[in-house]
Amino acid sequence: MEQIPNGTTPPPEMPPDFASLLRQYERRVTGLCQAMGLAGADIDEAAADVFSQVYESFGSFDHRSAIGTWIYTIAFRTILRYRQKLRRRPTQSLDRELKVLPADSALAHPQELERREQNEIIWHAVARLPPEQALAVQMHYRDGLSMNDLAIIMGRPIGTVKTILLRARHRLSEMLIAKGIEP
Amino acid sequence: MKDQTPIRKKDSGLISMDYNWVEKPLRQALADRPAHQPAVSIATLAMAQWRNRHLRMQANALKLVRLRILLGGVTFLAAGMIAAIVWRAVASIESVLQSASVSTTSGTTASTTLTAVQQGSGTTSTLTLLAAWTPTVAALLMLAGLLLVLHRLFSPDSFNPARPAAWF
Repeated sequence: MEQIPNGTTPPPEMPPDFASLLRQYERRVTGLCQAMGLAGADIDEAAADVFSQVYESFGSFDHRSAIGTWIYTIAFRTILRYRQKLRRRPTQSLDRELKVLPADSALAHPQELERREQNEIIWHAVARLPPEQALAVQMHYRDGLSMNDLAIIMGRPIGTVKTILLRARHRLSEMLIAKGIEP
Repeated sequence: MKDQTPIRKKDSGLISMDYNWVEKPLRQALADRPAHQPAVSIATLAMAQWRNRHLRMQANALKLVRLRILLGGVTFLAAGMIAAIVWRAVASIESVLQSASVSTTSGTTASTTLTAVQQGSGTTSTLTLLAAWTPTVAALLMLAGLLLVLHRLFSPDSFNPARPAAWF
């Protein structure tokens, strides 16, 4: 497997508190970027922007909400902004991401191959959702955030968040059925 | 096996579908998704972005200070020019009034002087108009300039040793 250059090693001048925070939330933030259809350098740039803002406001964080919720809030706004920028460019495919998947055992196990194809369809479908729905789906179904947390992060009432998720399920359901994935 | 086909429900007049079957494959797919592998460390990129943003902010603050100094200078220059015009206008008016009063043959009343001025040449009329309006315009301009300077001097962040740029 390809080694990540420098991995998650923070620069030497970074405060240790912030460095551990970065290690803890880096994958979740990049996951949100992936859910939004960002790819490659766009993910790096967007995630770095999120953490540079977190770093800037780190000293003045007032602990009124959980630190995770606060980071997600920053990430939510920043990634939505990047998505707007991305709209002006042609959409990028998930091919690069798929190349990362090990293909050795897939041929030997048709079920595994089928599952991967299904996953790929679902990733594409999530990326094609409206931005708010895609982020809500990722935060709720992947990161396990509660409706309350989502309401704080998205700055919407809980009822609206539930509606956003319902609509996301509705659209996903239609897209998946159209692709042959049935209940 | 439980039937998982979408169920149509009637709920307070609105027809909604049960799309919850999506949740299971969705959770599975999102959990299986490989993590993004950054080309460069996110931490390094974040710190670089933070530094760049600060440098940009400092450069913008410096530009703003220069602009304020320029605006202040231009304001006072304009006020000074206006004051000079007023001074010249008043001097001219004075001389016109003097010549008008000398040329009046009978009486030295104010009404005679006024008539002489009103019936004078075009230059005299212009000067009269200038004498009437220029002080008002000059005063307004100087007041604006003064307010600008006072605002900068007495705004809450003025004379903060930590922010010398705000003094202007």
